[in-house]
Parts: sequence; structure tokens; C-alpha cells
Amino acid sequence: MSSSRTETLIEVAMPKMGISVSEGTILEWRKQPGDWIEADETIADVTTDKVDVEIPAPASGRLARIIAERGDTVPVGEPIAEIDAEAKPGEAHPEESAVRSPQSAEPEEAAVSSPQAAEPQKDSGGEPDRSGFVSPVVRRIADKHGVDLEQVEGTGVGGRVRKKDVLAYVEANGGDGQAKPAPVLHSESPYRPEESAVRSPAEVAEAEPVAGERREPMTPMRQMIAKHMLDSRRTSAHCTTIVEVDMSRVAARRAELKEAMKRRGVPLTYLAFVAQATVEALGEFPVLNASVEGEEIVYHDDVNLGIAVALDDGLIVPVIPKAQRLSLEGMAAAIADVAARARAKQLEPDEVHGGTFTITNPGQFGAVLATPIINQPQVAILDLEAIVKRAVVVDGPDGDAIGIRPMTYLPMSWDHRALDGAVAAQFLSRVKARLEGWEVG
Amino acid sequence: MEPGNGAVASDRARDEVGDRVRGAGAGTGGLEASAATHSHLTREDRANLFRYMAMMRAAEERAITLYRQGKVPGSFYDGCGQEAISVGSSYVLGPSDRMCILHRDLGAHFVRGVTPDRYLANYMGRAGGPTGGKDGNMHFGDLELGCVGMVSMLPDMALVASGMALKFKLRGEQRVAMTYFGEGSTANGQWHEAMNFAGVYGLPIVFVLENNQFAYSTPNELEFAVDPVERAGAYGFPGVKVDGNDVEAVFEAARAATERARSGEGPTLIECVTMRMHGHGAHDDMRYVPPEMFEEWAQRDPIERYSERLVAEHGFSADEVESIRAEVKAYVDECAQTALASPMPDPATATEGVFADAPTELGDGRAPWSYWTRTAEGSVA
Amino acid sequence: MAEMTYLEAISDGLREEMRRDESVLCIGEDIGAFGGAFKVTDGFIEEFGAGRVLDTPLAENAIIGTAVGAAAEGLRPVCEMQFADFISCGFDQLVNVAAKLHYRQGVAVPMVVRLPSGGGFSGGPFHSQNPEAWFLQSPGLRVVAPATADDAKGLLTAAIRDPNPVCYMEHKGLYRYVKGEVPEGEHSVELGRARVAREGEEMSVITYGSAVHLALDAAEELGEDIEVIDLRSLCPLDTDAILASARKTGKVLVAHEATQSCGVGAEVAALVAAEAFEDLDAPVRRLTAPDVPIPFSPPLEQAVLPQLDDMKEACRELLAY
Repeated sequence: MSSSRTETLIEVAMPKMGISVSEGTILEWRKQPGDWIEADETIADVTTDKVDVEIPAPASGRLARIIAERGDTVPVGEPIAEIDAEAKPGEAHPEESAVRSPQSAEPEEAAVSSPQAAEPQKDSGGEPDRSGFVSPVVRRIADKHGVDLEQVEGTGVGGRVRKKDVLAYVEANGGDGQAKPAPVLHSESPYRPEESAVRSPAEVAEAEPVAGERREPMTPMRQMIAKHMLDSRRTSAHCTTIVEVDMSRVAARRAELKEAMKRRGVPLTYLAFVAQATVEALGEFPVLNASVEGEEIVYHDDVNLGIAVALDDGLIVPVIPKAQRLSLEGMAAAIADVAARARAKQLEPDEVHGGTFTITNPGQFGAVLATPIINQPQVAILDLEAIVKRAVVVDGPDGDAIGIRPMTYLPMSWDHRALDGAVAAQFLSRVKARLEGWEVG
Repeated sequence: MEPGNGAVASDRARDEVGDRVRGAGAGTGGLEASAATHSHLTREDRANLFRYMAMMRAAEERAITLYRQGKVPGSFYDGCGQEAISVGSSYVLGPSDRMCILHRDLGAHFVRGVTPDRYLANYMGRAGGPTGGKDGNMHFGDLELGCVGMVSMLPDMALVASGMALKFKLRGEQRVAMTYFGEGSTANGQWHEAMNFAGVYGLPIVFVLENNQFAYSTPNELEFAVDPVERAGAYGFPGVKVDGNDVEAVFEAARAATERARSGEGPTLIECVTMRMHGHGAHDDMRYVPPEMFEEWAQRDPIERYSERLVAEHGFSADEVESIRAEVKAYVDECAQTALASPMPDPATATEGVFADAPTELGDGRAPWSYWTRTAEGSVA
Repeated sequence: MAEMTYLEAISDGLREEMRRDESVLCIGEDIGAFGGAFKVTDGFIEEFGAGRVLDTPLAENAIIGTAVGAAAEGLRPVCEMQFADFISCGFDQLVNVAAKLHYRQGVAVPMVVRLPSGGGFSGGPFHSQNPEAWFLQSPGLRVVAPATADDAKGLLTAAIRDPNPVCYMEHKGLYRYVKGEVPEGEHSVELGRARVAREGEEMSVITYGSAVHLALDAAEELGEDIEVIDLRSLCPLDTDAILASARKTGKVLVAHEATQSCGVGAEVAALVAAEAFEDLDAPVRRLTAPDVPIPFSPPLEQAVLPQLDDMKEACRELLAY
């Protein structure tokens, strides 16, 4: 609370204007509320049934209030106005923020919009402006939370920002810039507009252009992906095992179910089948649904399935929790949901954490083989590559024959710290078998 | 000052209080009540008296040398010419008696068991001194030998010694406190407070006043208008004046005084007349001493006098006396080496020990007087 | 528990310790037959005898000096200065002998000097002082200053049991006006621990002795969220409590009845400025008596000793900063 001074109000009364005069009527106010008045200066004209009289001010000050308006008749001795005798010339009247007083010596500054109506304005004669003074604790709190103190309302003397002011600001604004725990790989949330440009254009401009070269700063997401990929490579003993899968039964089953699901709002993709088969196989090979911590292997009860979603400028891996509970339709719906929300930048920060196994699907873009990088702290990542019609050897009526089948490769990168090639191969064979043996009809 | 008109307690009650305090600890004797021998000193005692005086002289001479070699920081004080006083008086005390020893009374430290190396180490500010460098020159006292060391302000120790004697009195113990002060410090208010307090409470204390003719440069006639020994009566106890350069006279006076104290008869003031043969400190050239005065007192050197008397009256051979002297000198030299080998204190200890973590206990001093050995072996004291 | 006045609590604490430990004795002027100028030792000589309640001549150096000697020999004297002001007559023994003996010689001096201090009743310059800062400038002395009846007993007990010389500042104005619940029997309060007398978030008043009550009254009347820390011990000082409060509220007022320059307030202010600078939201302020001898006439005395209005004003200002 600033030091608003108390007013000393002096009453201006209807004066005695003659022995027999008992009342007077206000003809004219020569001063308006807020006007500066010198003692003895005429402030009003009053008329009685005998004479017109000028009313002199009993004291210097600011005309605070007119009690009797023009035309009012007031008995002698009764108050007609009040003068604030403590006021000083040039001082702004507390209520005249927008009104220019012809009496004030200095021009008023444009009133800064402030909810503190009691604050004196930045004027001469008032309190010194201390809004720029920052106490040590305010500086510390502001730095910690990345607060721009210009944005904070100050309730201290002179308008300074107090500790409680900056703390209130921080609470109201959700703690900008407060350090968050480092997110898990592939899980960087891009939804933080304050971090859009990590390297300032100025920094970029500093680098001298070299012929044949163009420089672009990496986006925060790019930088995070770069870091996570490198860290993953350094953490896990990466190996990649590949199986080849005949997707003809899956294709058939998909054709059977697609329309009905679509009517229910669920797009049925090949990815959903692969996810379903993977989750089932993980039940039989739990080591693929585990993590390495130091010298221990931590087996996770639930399969929290990460689905890699390609974005314009990177990728994100939302997690479908407890995927083992989902039916084929449930899985398809979940995948569609997270993918859509991922692209629309509507994922919750928690949704990119806690995954135990990841499936990625770059095949939609036409590639047939890849060696994906494991999403830490998991031990494997499965890749659905492009489904390509190929000529393959099939069982014909006379033994081997050539058939045309929709084929795909399922490369899986896995962590040799936790398991060995045999297990990886067996797991993949199980997935392959499930897909190739999908019930149809 | 609030008026204390004693309205609550009657004068009779006060007298009762006074009687109880003064009467407490009225002794059962336990000393050899019949002063069996005309002299309480054996041949061995006499040799010891000489030995301790010689030790004080030799140690202080060594110390002066070290001082002149720049090994003694700060100021240098000694008691040259006054050896008979501290040796003669402290020799009387028993193990459980207590002392506050002053700066011209090094002999008392030696009698009670402090070795010359520790004295020299303290002067040199070494870790091996009794204060570990915390205080210098004679501002030390080994608590394990029952001594509370002096402060610079004189005669503050008179009150501290009175406090120890107060405890003996309150507990009815037949123990004695002994302390020293110069004639100059009798001008100070605390001397009066100590004498008065001791007199009021009848404390078992022996006040040894060393009148060495000068308080720094101030002669006696500017220190007091009446001989200090005469003031004792004003405080309610006897004052005795002795030749401070006669070690046996000092011994006798101290012996009688401690006997009084142990019997519950209260304090004694013993004025020992002597002369300070060196300056107040090594920085003082004594220009205020008339040369003839100096000459006169030089003839009465306590150590020389006693060495002559030992030969003339107590059956010592000159060789015997000399060999004591030589033995002492060799011992002091050896102690000097020990002291010089003691390191300077670790600066980290400078801030240690401001406060005590636990109470401490004063230990007992050495009691070389043969009486104590005889008493311990022989009778029922 | 029993309700007693501050004065009764001091008596009670002293009596308890004398009963418990026969090495404890009282020594001072008019304390025996007369029961003490303020009646703290009333009845003591009857219970404990003249051997443990000593009436001394008018000689403060003697009181303190003999206490040192007795303490060195294993007794635990509790000296009474009739008024804290008279410590100047015993100052030499206190600061040169008692305070330094352990440092120099390893001799512990377990003694207490009780110092009836403080003004507010036209005692004049020689019966109204709060000289604790003198002792704080003398290494080797512990200093305590209770504000409540509970602490009056508890700190006296702890002081008696401490193996060092302790200056016990008992404020005369609190003798009969402060009452409280006090544990019966054995009760000791650890030296060096402050007490949160009142919790608050907006500002801290760090204080001791009589000013604690001013601070609590002011906080009540203002109805503001003011924290009051009662230091209780001045040496050792509870620096942790001081800093914790300063960091919590960011606004510190140090208050004491003693005069300003180089008082406890100066020490606390320096501590806060050095160690809690980055938590401060306002300058550290002090509310103290000015550097003036305490005058005799009531209007003059009230103009010098901090009053309730002064405390309220100081709090208001700091809150508004």
C-alpha cells in the first residue's frame, strides 16, 4: 500500500451576508472540483433577496466537493463545498487520471493502465517512482521462473514489485520457464511455443555464409531427436533381426472387417494387425517388454505400446497404455486416435511417457527395410515396412509354384544386453506366424 | 542504590549468619600441635630451598638470554632478587592447597612441580608452554598442579584466591589458598575488596605482599601513606613483616600463617621486604633507583646469603653447595633445549577453547616439604 | 505445570537447582537475610543455610572474583548483581578473569551472574540499563535473556549447569507483569536455541527480552501476519533460526530495549545481510533505544525506550515496503 495522504477537508459554508439574511442561492460556481484555489479567491457567486455576493475561499487548497449546486438555496452557515487543504498545487487529483487540469504545473504523463487506483501517478509532488527497483529476492525469483518484471504489478512503496507480487504472478502464469524434468527419448513435446526459436536469428546471422552452403538452425524437436538417437545408440547394443511376412490373410481379414469398422469410426490399418500380433507375442516373450537398469532386467507387467507418428518436422511416439487389453478394433481405434491427436498437436505430455515397446511404420512411405533405433529405455523396436506385392514360392497343386503375395519385412532392432539373437528371432517368428495364420471368414 | 535497611532480618539473625560463616571449618588440628622441633626444616629441606632459589635464578637468567636473542615475543618480566619469597612461602604448602602465582614468583611454580622447560616455552610462546601460546610470560598456571594463573590486572588474583579459600571454608576443608601481590597493587580497590572479604569471612588464606620498593618506577612513598602490613589489622587479621631476602624467615612466617588458616583462625598478611634487582620489565632500565640503594640490596642477595648460611650454620660444605648450583644449571640448560625444541603453536588453535565443554578439576601440587612426607608416612593427619 | 510470574520462575529454577546440586550457591548483596532486593532469594537462607546463601560486602569485583575461585575449585556460584548496571564495578573480574580463564588455561569457570536489567519505571541512568552488548564483546562469556516465565526458569537451570560463565539478563519490568505456565520440578531450556513466539509470513521481528512482548502485542493489534522470533540466547546465538525466518519472510525488524549502536540488533542485521541477502525483500531495520543514557522523568524515559506505538509503526513501515 502506497502512502496516500489523508485529506484535510475544510468546509465552505454559506456566509452571513447581512443581519436579516437567512439563506442564499448559488448563482454560479467559478471553480470546479479538482481546481486549485488560493485563499480569499472567489469561488462562487451567491444571491440573496437583497444582494449578490462573491464567496471567497476560506483556505488554499483543491476544491474537493461541491455540496450545493447552481440554483440550490442553502441556509446561512450550512456547507456548500469542501476544500482539501492538504493538497499541493500541481498535484493530480486522485480521480482525474484522464482529465487535464489547467492548474497543474507539469503535464501529466499518459496514465499507465493500473488496477491500483490508489497509486499516485508518476507525477511531481507524489511518491518517487520505485517501480524499477528490484530487491534481491524478487530478482532471484524472477530469474528462476523466467519472469519479465515489466509484466508484474507492483504493490510496494513507489510501485515496486514485492516478493508477494512476483510470486502471485508466477502462480497465475503457471511458472514459465521453470525447469522440467528431461523428457524420455522420442517423447519431446513440441507443444511449447516459448521454445520455438532456441537459436536467435542473430546467432544464425553471425555465421558467415560460405559458397555452396546453406545453414539452418535445428528446431528444438530436431535437437532433442538428435540427442536421443545418439544416446540410444550409445546405450543399447543394437542388433537388427528381420523376418519376412506374407500378409495375404491379414489383407483378407482386413477386407472383411474394414467397412463395418469404418462405419463405427475406426479406420482399420495393417498396423493394427501387426500391433495386435506383437502384443500377443510379447506375452510369450516378456523379455522384449522389459528395460535394462544397471545390471538388472526390469520386466513390465503391462504392454504400453508406443506408436511412432511422423510429423512435419520430426516424429513423436505416443503410448497406448495396457495395449494387451485391446481387441483388434480397440487397437485400431487407439492407433487412429493417438495418431490424429499427435498430428494435431493435442497429445498430453504424459502420453509420450511410459512406453514398454515401440512399433514404427515408415513403410507407408515406400521403404522396404530399415534398422530402427531403440526408443530408450525399451529393449526393442519393431518396424512395419512397405507391403509390396512380390512373386514368391508358394505351395502349388504340383508342389512348389510361384505366387503373388503381399509381402512385407518386419525388421526389429533389439538390445543385445537383454536378449540374444535366438530369442529375437523366435519372437519375430511368433509374430509372423500370427499374421500369416490370421483367421479369415 | 536501593536502601537496604535490614528490616526483614534482625541484627541477631545477621550475627548468627556471621558466626556460622566465620565459625565453619574451625579446625580439629590434625597438624603436629606440639611444634616438636625448633626448626621445621630438615637438611634435605634446606638443600631444597637453596635448590629452588638457584633454579629460579638460573631459569630467569636463561630466559633473559633468550629474550635478548629475540626468541621471546612481547615483554619480559622476572623476579631477580626476590627468590626467597616465592620459594620460602610456597614450600610450606601441602598437596591439596591452592595457589595463584604472580609474575615475580617463579620459584613457587617450581616448588609446585612446573619444570623450567615449560616456563621457558611459555615465554617463547611455544606449544609446549602451559598455555600453548594463548598467554605469555608469567601469565600461566598449571591447573593440574593446583594453580590458577594470573591476569595482568593487579591484584585481581587476590579475589580469585579468596574464592578458592571460600570454598575450603564452606566445606570445612583444612586446605589453604596462597597468593601474592606487590605493594603497589595495594592501592587498588580490589585489594581492599579482597582483604575485606577475607576478613569478614575469616578465610583460610595467606596473602604474601612482596614489598620490592618500587611499583614500576613509583617508589613506596607515593603508593601508600602507611606501611601496608599495618592495614591488616583494619581488616580484622594479623599482619607480619619479614625480611624478604631470608628464605627461612619467609618460610617460618608462611608456616605459621598456614597453621592459623588450617585451624580456622582466618587470613594472614605477610609483608616480605625485598628489592627488585631488575627493571619492572626488561624494557625498564631502572634509572629511578638510587645507585646506593641498589648497592645496598646487592649485598643482601638471598641466594648468596643462604649459600653462606648453609655452610656456616647448617653443616654444608662449600662443594656441596656448589654442586647443587652446578646441577641446577645443567638441569636448566637441558630444559632450555627442550623448550627450544618445542614448536610454535598451530594457528588453527587460536580460536579453540574459548568455552569449556565440561567442568574441570584442579589437581594437587607437589609438596616437597619433608613435613608432608613425614605426615603421610607417620601420623594421622 | 504451574502458573507463575517471571520472578517466581527465577526463584523456582534457582531453588530447584540448589536442591538438586549442593555445589550450587548464591552470592550477592542483601540476598541472604533480606531475601534479595527483588526478593528472588526470599526464604533461601532458611532452607539452604548461610553456607550456601552468602551476603557479601558492597564489592562487585569481590563477588565475581571469589566466584571465579570457587568455581575453579568445583562449586557453582550464582552471583547476583543488585542491578545489571553495577556490573561495571565488577567488570574487571568478569571480562579479564572469568571470561578468559578457560581459553588461557583450560580451567572451566561454571558460574552465573544474574543481572536485573531494563527500564520503564523511572529508575534513571544507573538502574535501567541493558548492558548485554558489553558481554557479547568479551569472548568467553555466555549471555541469555529470557522473555517468558517458562524460559526464565529453563534458561537459569541451563546456565547453572553450563561449565562456562553465563550472564543471565533478567528484565525487571517482566518480573511481575509476565506470567505463564512453567513446568514444575526439573526444567531446562537448551542454550543457543531461539523460539518462534509467533508464526507469520509477511515479516519477521527478531527480538529478545522485554521487546518480545512489544512485538507480540503489536502483531495482535495490527492483525498482521508477523512472525516473532524470541532469541532467548544471545551467545550462543541461534543463527539458523534467524536466517530461516529472514529467508521465509524477506523482511526483518530487529528489536531490543538496549541502545542502538553495536547492540545485538547490529549483530543480527549484519548476519542477515551477509547470509540472506538474496532472500531480502526490504532493508533490515532495527527498533531500539537511541544512544542515550536512560532518563529519569517519565515523558523522557518513554521517549527513549521503545514503546508499543513505535513497534507498530516500525512493523507497518516494513510491511508496506
